[in-house]
Amino acid sequence: MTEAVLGDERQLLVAVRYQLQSYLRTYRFFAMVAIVVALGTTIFTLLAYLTNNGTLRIAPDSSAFLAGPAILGFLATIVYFSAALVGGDAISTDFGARTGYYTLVLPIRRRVLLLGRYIAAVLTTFLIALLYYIFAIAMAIYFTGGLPVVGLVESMLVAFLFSAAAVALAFFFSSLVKSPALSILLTVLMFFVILPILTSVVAAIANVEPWFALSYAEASITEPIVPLSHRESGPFGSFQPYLWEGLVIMAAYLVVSLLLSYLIYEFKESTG
Amino acid sequence: MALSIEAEQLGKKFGKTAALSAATFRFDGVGAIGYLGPNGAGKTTTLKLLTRLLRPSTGHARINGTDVTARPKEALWDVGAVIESPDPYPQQTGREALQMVGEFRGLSPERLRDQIERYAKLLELPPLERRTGKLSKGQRQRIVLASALISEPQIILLDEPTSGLDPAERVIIRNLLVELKRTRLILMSSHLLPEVTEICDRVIFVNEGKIVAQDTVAGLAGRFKETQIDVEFVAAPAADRLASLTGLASKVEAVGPSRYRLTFDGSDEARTKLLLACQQIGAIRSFASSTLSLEDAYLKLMRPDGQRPT
Repeated sequence: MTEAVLGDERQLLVAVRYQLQSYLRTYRFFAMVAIVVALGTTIFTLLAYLTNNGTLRIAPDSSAFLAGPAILGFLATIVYFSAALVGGDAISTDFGARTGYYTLVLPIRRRVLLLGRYIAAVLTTFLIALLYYIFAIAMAIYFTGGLPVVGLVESMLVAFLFSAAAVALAFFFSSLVKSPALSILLTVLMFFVILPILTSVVAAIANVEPWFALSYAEASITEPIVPLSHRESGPFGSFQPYLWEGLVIMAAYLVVSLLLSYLIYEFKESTG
Repeated sequence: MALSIEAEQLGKKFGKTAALSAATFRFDGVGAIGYLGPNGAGKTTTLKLLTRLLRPSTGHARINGTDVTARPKEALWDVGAVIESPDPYPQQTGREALQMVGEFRGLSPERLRDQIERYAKLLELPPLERRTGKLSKGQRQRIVLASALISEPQIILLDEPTSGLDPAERVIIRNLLVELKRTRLILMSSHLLPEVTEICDRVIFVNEGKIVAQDTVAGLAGRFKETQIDVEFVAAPAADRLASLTGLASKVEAVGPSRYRLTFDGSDEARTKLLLACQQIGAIRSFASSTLSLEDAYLKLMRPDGQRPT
């Protein structure tokens, strides 16, 4: 072999490209696209029906409309689902299935493989989130005739960070078990059962701000569109994160989860 | 660059079970080494330690002098490996699976294209636009082997490379390995002793996690050398007439109604005497000698009684 040892940066680009290509071809990705399209179309149709027959009157305030629970309020759920399906088996697949024997014997540092896979997973998850934003934008223009462009762009940036944090957490769960199916299930349970229950219990019963939960930070996605002071109440009693607080929680989840995932991945062995 | 594969006191424990204990070997230069042993002997564990799929409990694995655990990327840069039965990403086409590996290994687009075409012909790869998840096991195995060879690595590590392949596919891979060993250093585990005899120059026998022998194929077979003659009479001779053979052969055993296997020291003089003695006993249909093979050496080393399983 005459080729000089390729740098980590170039190998990272290769890893991202091929991993992204692989993610975008999975049935899971197509399923998520179908779910988002179905959800967006259903909400659009329902609102159109209710406003046309006079049951519902939508105020011409595009910011309030977008930030409402029926529109961008769904975004966190979509991100959780997408992160779980894309990242829930990102590491376990190398040890529970046989793809690891294809990639791990190659001359690539595991951190490069992991980072490439992570970037691809975040991009895929955010792509699904963007698709839902397209529906939200279309609905805002149709029902309110306006669009809070700056707030919307900022909200997208927050959603990107939220996607990165959710995917990092999914990667962490995928590093804990060997079975890809089990790790996806564990991630889904964590996102939709354990974390929300923990957050609700701590906030509502113990009356403590759940600053430790990613689900607490999800309210920050709509914060740039409708600032906190404009809200009447938060999702968990009186607690609602400030934007900076939500960003810090997301960043902390991203860094800690990804670091732990890397440490586990680096030392994990192919014993199967 | 001097090629070398080295294990120094290499060991791996899973809990209290030692999968490999203080394995030590070193091979330099080009050629093919067969790594043999029964299931669970430690063959795959050794190959995994040499490719950083496992971390050693003791000792060191080195490729071209570089420690695999400490500097895996540098150690594996010139290594093509197929361990267990790898699966490329099922959503990738065969071509994409090969391109990904080639790009990771720094091949230029032109060289990569040429190499894919070269190995597509050499290994008779399946249609490269088909997704790997849709391929048969044998087709996938050939794609994986092509990916291991596409950058022309100087060191090749293979774990039962022909397992699960049909006879035609085995021939393709065996011929390729015979060709490659002239310029590369190959370490391959296998259960197929005729294949090892055909491909490999040297062998290591491992059993219960310990290396029990290592030598050239001829040297190892010679170590357990006994020569046998299979003689078949036209009609079954009376038992008392066979007594004349016992002084010439160390062992006389019946292997058929009129067929006997005579074990002797292998000398030409003894062979001639045996032939004459057999002619005295009765008309002979056939008289053929055979030297014990690698398979016999394997059985002697791996089975306490040294006997062939019935």
